Amino acid sequence: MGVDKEITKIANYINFPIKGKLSFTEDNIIQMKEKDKFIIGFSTIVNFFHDLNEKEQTQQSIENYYLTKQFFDFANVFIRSTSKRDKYAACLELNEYLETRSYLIGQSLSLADLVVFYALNDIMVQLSPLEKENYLNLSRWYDYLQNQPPILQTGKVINFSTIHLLGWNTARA
Amino acid sequence: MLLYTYPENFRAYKALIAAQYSGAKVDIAPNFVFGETNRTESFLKKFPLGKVPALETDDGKYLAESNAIAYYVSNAQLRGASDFEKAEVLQWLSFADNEIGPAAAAWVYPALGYIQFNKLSHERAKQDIARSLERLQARLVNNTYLVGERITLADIVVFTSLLSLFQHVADPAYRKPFFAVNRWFNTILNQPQTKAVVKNFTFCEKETPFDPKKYAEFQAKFGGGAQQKEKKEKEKKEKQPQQPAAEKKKKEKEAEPAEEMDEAELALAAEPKSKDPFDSLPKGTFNMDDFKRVYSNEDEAKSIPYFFEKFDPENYSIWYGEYKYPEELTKVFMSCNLITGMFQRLDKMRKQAFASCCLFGEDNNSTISGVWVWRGQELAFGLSPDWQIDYESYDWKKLDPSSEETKKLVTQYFSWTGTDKGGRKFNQGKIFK
Repeated sequence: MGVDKEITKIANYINFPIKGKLSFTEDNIIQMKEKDKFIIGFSTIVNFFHDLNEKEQTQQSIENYYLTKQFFDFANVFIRSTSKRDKYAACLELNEYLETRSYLIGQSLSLADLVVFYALNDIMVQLSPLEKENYLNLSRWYDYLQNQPPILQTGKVINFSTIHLLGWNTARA
Repeated sequence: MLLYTYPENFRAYKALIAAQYSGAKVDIAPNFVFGETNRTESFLKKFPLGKVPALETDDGKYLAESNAIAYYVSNAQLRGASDFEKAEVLQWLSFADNEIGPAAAAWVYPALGYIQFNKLSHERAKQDIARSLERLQARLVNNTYLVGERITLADIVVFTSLLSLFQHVADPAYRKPFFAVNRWFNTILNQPQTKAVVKNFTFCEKETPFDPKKYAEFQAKFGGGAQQKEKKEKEKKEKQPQQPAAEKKKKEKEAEPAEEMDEAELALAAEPKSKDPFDSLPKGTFNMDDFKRVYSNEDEAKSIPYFFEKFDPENYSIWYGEYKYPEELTKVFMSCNLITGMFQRLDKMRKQAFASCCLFGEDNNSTISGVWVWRGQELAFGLSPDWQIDYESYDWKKLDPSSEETKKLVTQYFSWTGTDKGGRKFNQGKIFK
């Protein structure tokens, strides 16, 4: 999933009108036009949403506000890394982190969940059922998010059935 | 809507948390006094069982049973999205009531001093709860919540049924293997809707031990047969090595306030009171429990004189019972089983009776006889139909408590010495107490 698509989905989720605002710079960096100015770069745009979202429904503590930003960078640097090792290390780390947590931040959904969720999509579709089972907590969390229609939007549901044969079967079909 | 309940009732929590989600307006009835308000005629007219929580709707309808009330005040999300999800919610409500509820009570109530501690039921309850947590774990490893991908009434109800366990008895080591349950429990606990209702929750750091003092206080306040219970407790104490009761936690609050109990808890606390057949006989001055304690703790050189000193011949009697069919006795261990089996069938007699039964001789050449003491002057076995299985296999002879011969016989049997009439040597003895 391209970054433009991810940003569109996040914008949809927070009800931010995005039509026709996205483009790429000459260096192929995503940018968003907002009131005659360009906001450049994935992290910058997401942080812009984050602040917007906070203004509308300020429920996060300052600590969680910055923790959320940290997850934006985490998604950008590790999950989207070109190195396969980085990617899997990120999955492992998330899996461990989610053992004691239902959500990335606090005890409810936040933009951190969304950003990491969309960024993970490319990795998750490629995981074999056995790998999914190794990332037990990550899989549980991912499955939860993809079952929320406002988050999934037009995306495809990934099979997390723990019945191996069924999983293989649907993966091939 | 008006909800009748005493404070911090986990059953009322179900409805109160559900109402936080749905926005249903539920007020707690003011001035409700448990044990008084719910005994009044006007309350019983509305709720014939007199149980709480109980709900009175704005248009004057009445609803009892916490699950029903919680369901009523829920919204569509909490009840489940599809017919199947609704059924799943129901499944977890039953799970909470049937699988968690009874075992949780058996484990938590002694810690709170509501009921007597019993090692066996304590261990069994711990195992049962572990099994239930495993069941929850199996679901929560793969799913964030119990039903579908949203919080439902299932989460709320199962959560409330675990509250007292996680607060009083399930220490970190016990909870540790159930990481997914812990994750989920924390999430539910920290939802704003839960936080608005459940206050003052802290995770158990160390299992609250049974405190006989707390139990005695509670019994004095609520228990019907408080005295009887206390006696029983003493008896238990002497049987079981003392649990670490000495180090009482300072931070621990005094006995839970009376209002904490609801009917179900009270019923549990009051244990089924089957009538003691000995009740019809005068109590006299001989204290069976005291004697048994002395007998267990002291040497026979002390306990036997103690027996004769305290014995009340007016209200108690001493008997000699001899097995009628010694020729049928073969292996010693089988004969011993015969005795212990009889003791077990006479279980309810224990409170007011004491006996020492001895087996003399060896395999294929042995006799069984014993000295019995019980309240009343007649053969006690007539008092209850439950006690009449074995006694006809014995010849019973009432002994004269003042005669020297009786003293000799009592001494011999209580101290497990000597021979039977045929000169067979003492082999094994069993004490009924």
